[in-house]
Amino acid sequence: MDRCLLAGPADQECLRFGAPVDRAALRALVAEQAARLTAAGLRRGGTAALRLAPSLGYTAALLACWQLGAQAVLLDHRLTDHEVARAVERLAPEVLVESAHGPAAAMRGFAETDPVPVALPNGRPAATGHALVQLSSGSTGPAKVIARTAADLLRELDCYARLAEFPKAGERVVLLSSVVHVLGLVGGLLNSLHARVPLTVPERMTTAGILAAIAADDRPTTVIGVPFHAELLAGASDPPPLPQLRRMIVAGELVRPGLPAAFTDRYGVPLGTMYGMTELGVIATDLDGDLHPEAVPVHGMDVREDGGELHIAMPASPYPGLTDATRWSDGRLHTRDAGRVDPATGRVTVLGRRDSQVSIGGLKVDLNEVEHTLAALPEVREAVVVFADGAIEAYLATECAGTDGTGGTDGVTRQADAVRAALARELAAFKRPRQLTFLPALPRTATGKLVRDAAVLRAAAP
Amino acid sequence: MLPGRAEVVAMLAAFGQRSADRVPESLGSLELTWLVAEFEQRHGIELDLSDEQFGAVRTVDDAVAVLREAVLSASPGGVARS
Repeated sequence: MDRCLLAGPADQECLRFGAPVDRAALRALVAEQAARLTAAGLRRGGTAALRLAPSLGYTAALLACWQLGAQAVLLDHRLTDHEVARAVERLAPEVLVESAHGPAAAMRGFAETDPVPVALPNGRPAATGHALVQLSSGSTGPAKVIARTAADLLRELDCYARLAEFPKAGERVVLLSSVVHVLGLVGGLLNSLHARVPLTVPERMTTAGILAAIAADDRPTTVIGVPFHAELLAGASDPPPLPQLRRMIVAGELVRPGLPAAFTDRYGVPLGTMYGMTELGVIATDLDGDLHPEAVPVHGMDVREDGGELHIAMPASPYPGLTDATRWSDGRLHTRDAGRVDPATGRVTVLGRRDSQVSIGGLKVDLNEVEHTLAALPEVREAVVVFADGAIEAYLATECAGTDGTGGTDGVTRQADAVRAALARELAAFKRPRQLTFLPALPRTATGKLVRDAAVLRAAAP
Repeated sequence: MLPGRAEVVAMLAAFGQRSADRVPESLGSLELTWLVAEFEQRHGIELDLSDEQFGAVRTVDDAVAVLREAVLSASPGGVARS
């Protein structure tokens, strides 16, 4: 870890969360966090869960975990106390690291955190050799555990190094994706430290804030984010000249047709795309944006099409403790992404998901988790959750909605408030439905199955 | 000049290049982020919403109220801390 990520000239700028941080300062911050973690009892082979907003403090605490030879579990800071409690119960980390400071304000690109590690009474040391454990929204309620080894993270960094269009030493990156998730963590933060490409996280994640972060430095600049960020920038009404901007690279969900052209019209540089997964990191790229919707697999990535699903060679399952042949079997990861592989060129085209996972601004949400959570509430008899126009909508049958479909306005309002309050306790904000619609009964097909067509459900609304 | 409902709907319609009648009354977090970014560009105001304020905006009307309050509390060229 020290050799791959922290090494380098003491006065070399490496990170900018507001103020610039050089390598000597980062090494000192990591040493301080390592001392705190050690005092909390963390040792080689131990486990620490980080529940921290994207920040310099988070970066130092994560690197300190790895410096100590411990396994780091990343918990998105937006998860509710209920979700964190379930994750802690399941993963049993020995140390939980939270911040004494409050979370970031809504439009801030990063937070000011002061990580405080606390030893947990029932924590267990790492059962596997994985360096990184992440959680993904699960299809049956509990989150899916995804783990990666240090060797696999280094393999991914090597893939980035082999991509000529990916930022190199002498250039810089403006990162818009969260450093807690794979794109921002490996493609952004770790690659910047490894390739010695200084990384800036804008103070404000608005159009003006992002443009100001790009304009703040003359070095050739690559912007990394999710498609929503490219939408924001393509919609800028009067952006300043940005001669340093080389390209923007987005990943995390499919790009809307027309967005690459709109972005290039505005800035005169390409909008590149990458396809990747938490389990493997980057899988295929089209960094010049001229192959869209195709992408070329990165070095060593063996992608095949099997019955319309993309399968990828992976020697060991990334799901510790889970035996599920529909996710990994015989050395192949079943991505659950529908796609094609061109037999002549090997290029990959991703067509969408084959399960109930959707992406909200690059954050993965399994609709089944939302539906199960709603259906388990005492106020709710039945629930159907759909994804339409880029947002989650929930249709609920409740006792209060009554057989006449009204139940009284006050009654429906009270129930809606009660359901929203319960959801706010159980689900992170990005997983909650944009809209709750209460119906006396949910529409069903002739064979009695719940209808999941948004148009039919919307038509059934009072 | 205070933002009205029509201006807010017009800003939201630009997200994904929709027509105004395709803008839903309920707002998702991405739509709200887009709206704040658009609003800042148009009005030259930085809108420093807390997570709680951001999470409390559920509808177009909620958003209109928050943006109007921000304009009223902003000093010229300054930061609006509503």
